[in-house]
Amino acid sequence: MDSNKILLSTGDTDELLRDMEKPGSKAVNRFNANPDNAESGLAQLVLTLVELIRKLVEKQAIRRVEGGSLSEEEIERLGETLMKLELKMEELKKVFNLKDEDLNINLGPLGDLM
Amino acid sequence: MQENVIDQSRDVTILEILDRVLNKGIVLSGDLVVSVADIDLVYVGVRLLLSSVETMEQMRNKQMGTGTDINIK
Amino acid sequence: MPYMLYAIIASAGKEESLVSLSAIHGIQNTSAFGVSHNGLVAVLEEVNHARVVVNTENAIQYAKIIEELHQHYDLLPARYGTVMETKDAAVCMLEKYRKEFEENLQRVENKEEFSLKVFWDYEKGSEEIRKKMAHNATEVRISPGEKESAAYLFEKIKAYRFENALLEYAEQLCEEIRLATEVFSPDIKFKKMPSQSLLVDAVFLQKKGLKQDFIQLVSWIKERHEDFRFLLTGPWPPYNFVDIN
Repeated sequence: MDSNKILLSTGDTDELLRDMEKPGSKAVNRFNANPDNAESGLAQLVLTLVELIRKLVEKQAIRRVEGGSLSEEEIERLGETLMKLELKMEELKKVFNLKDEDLNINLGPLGDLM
Repeated sequence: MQENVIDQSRDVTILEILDRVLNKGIVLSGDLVVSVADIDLVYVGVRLLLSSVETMEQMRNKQMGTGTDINIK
Repeated sequence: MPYMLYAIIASAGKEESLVSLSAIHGIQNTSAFGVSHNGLVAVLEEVNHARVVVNTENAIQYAKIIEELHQHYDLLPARYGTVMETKDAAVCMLEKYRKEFEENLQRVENKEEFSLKVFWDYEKGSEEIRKKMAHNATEVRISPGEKESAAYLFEKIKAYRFENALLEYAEQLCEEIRLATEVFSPDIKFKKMPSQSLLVDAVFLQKKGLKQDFIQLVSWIKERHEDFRFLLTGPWPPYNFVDIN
């Protein structure tokens, strides 16, 4: 089955391989999902969910700002709140010594979910 | 040199295989299924949550700004 | 004894289907067998532990078995490591999800899957998109410099618009691919920019036997995009086209 699965490729399979294995590639992340102890594993899971929700809320908020349906005051309040939320998240990450890659959080075209 | 090329294309194929076998296919959960490999049960649940949230997102997209108010305090 | 599930196949009422399965050896090197219920067969293998070891070797062996089965049957592959407690549990499953299994089997009848990944140079490509955006810039209703939060929001909006521009760019390529390949595969799934270097990740469901023609077609698309890198693989069993809730 092996080698004859590749039907067409541009240039170097080596380059393609590197692109496929970049962080965010799901197959690789599966094997790395082994927290060293239960506590950090739980924190990782919880914060990933919190961060997911925060990013979705943020996206929805920006969409509404762009939609033009909010007043200047509402936009200002939104900006302050979103900023505070993000700062809080950074604090939490520091407390549990987790980085963005640990939470595997990027949404949209620049990353993937889990 | 020849071997290198073959190894690389095999690696590409392996990545393609792993992505399918570990991330795709039927996922069943509940009392009929004892396990979906190792720690997956947690992620199965989270993935269902994520996909339902994503679907919600897509539905909101279609509603062009008439979505529910978000109250941020 | 627990049993690992490989796939759901349509037995088409033939007894031979079940017999030929015994020639297939599962990852624990024991025979695979089928339990059937109302025209559906669950392909199982007895395993030692409910928690199947997740490693590359086993995963590949698993894939080979699915591949072998797919040569002879229409099937719905199961996620690696799905383990059922008893044979009865498997029969229950066939009954419980009967409608979904039948619908999905119909969808993949005599079909196989191909995968097309299109890679681009993110640095160069995104730079060009940024330039276009600056050129067509529309007003942002916030004047930065007044408050820290205003500047923050300003940046977020810029990022949001940039992300949308990237997605739109990927969408254009998806549309082009769709138009070109619809004749071969009415059933296509796209992922737009799942990672920075992967612009489009597409999977196609096609009638078996169209491989050579499809390669030609993708070659033709590739020639029109010399700045992108293409990877076409297949044929695969229909892993990406089984939708069960």
